[in-house]
Amino acid sequence: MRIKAAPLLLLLAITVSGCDTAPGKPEGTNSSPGLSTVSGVATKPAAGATIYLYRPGEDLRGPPFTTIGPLGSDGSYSVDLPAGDYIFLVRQRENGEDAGPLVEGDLKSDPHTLKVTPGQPVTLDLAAYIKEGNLKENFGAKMTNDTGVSGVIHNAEGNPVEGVRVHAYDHVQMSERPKYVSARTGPDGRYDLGLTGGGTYYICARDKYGGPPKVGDLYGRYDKGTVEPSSVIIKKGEKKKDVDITVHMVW
Amino acid sequence: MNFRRLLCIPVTCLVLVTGCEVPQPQLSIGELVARGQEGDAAAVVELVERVDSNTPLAQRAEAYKFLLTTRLGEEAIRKNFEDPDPVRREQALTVGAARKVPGIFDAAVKAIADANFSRSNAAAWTLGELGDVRAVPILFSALVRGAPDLTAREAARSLGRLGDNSAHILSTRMGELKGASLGYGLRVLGELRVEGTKQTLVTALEDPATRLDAVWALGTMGKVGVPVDLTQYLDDPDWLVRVEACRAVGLLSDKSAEPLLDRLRREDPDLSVREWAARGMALVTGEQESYLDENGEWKTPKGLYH
Repeated sequence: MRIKAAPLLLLLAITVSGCDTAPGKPEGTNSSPGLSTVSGVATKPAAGATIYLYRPGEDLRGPPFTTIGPLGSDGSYSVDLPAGDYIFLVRQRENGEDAGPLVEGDLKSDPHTLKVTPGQPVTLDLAAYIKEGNLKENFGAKMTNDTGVSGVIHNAEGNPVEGVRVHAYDHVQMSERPKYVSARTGPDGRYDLGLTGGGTYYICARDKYGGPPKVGDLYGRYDKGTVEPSSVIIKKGEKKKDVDITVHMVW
Repeated sequence: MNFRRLLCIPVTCLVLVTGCEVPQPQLSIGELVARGQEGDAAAVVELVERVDSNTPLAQRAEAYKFLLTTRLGEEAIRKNFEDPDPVRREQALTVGAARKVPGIFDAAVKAIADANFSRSNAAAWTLGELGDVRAVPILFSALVRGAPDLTAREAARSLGRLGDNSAHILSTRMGELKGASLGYGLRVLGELRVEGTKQTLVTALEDPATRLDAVWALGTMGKVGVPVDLTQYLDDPDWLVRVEACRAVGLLSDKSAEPLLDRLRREDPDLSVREWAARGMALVTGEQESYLDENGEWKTPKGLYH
């Protein structure tokens, strides 16, 4: 992955700091007890971007602790947070989606860790860059082991479906962050999802990433006609083939 | 110049003017939605008619979501109940179901039996969404046909949505189901949790071809009616049956299974069975349990179960 500070550096440097008190704001004035205000300015072209907040140890590719935004035209933000450490990231996807891997042309910042102390407002401005290279990040392709699952995604007519990802969960509820996510399917609808180990997985194919499937999304699940999804058990060293999934628009 | 020649002049002009009329650019799906939101009934009709197999998914989704929110365009939707374009027909059925458009039940009944309708799964979903018990035999017939598989699965799920009304037909006519549909039927029966149908699942335990689904269903059914001893399937020669038996005895909190699960989590030759034995044991004991991994080390199973 290559992140380069482009000539069009979108936001200037992280000027912050963790210790500056916001001018004109007495300490803790506008926060609820036990919370501290973190605020900052993101100048235009970051308008429309979203700030993702994670707690240390959380997967930065997964659902965040919270989000701020999309930012308004002045790029400013303000959030009240309980004491603790947070990781701030700016992201803006050209395709308008609010989740999923970033690709070339998207806006992103480096992660910035901030300690929030009760009653001490902080100003934090974030620098963001246009992502270059790595046109299609492929979580699955990075796996080089011999365990995995593959198949074809098609529609009701049996035609291959392009542009969907296969998600593998290890909880039957399929509501947590997926354990593995494949690259988007190409015109042949094929997917090949590498796994780091054998186990029991619950599998679906969808065109969106994150959150439960919504009306209008493209979605399909491996199941046996039940409300509860059916498991796919893959043994260590096994490449399970022909796990095909049919997708349709969620009604 | 006679009268006939004089008449030709305005007629010619009229033809020229008509011929030169500039065609209006077609409105986009988004523009039609915007007009529909302002109450433009003609735009909604055009929207219903415009969406077909050639419409990109994002635009179809935009149109669909709007059509769920309006009462306009009902006649256009009804008109598409039998449209030859599968996407247009799918949209009419599913929007019709959500909006309870008059005639939708009969349209779905016709669509689910139409072998030329590639998206008959939409009809199966529609019948479940409507919640009309008259759909039970219709859905069961789709399950008996078994093809397309997506429709059979959706029919099974809709039977599950129709609740106890489906349990009787599934139980008494299970013998009509074949192949994958038989498995779907057994599993849905388990999800319905109706005591009077339990014997059908118990009978299915005897056949190795249906045992896997029957064990799954009896575990899912839970403590309903007379208890069934599933511990014998913890030693089934099929490792997948052993996996499902571990899950089932766990869901049933069968204390008698604990020593067997304890043995399986240590000794079963199949790693997946050892892992599921630990999960099943955790459900029985209420504590976190481990299993021996391929390196002979104790490991806690990945993921939880219920």
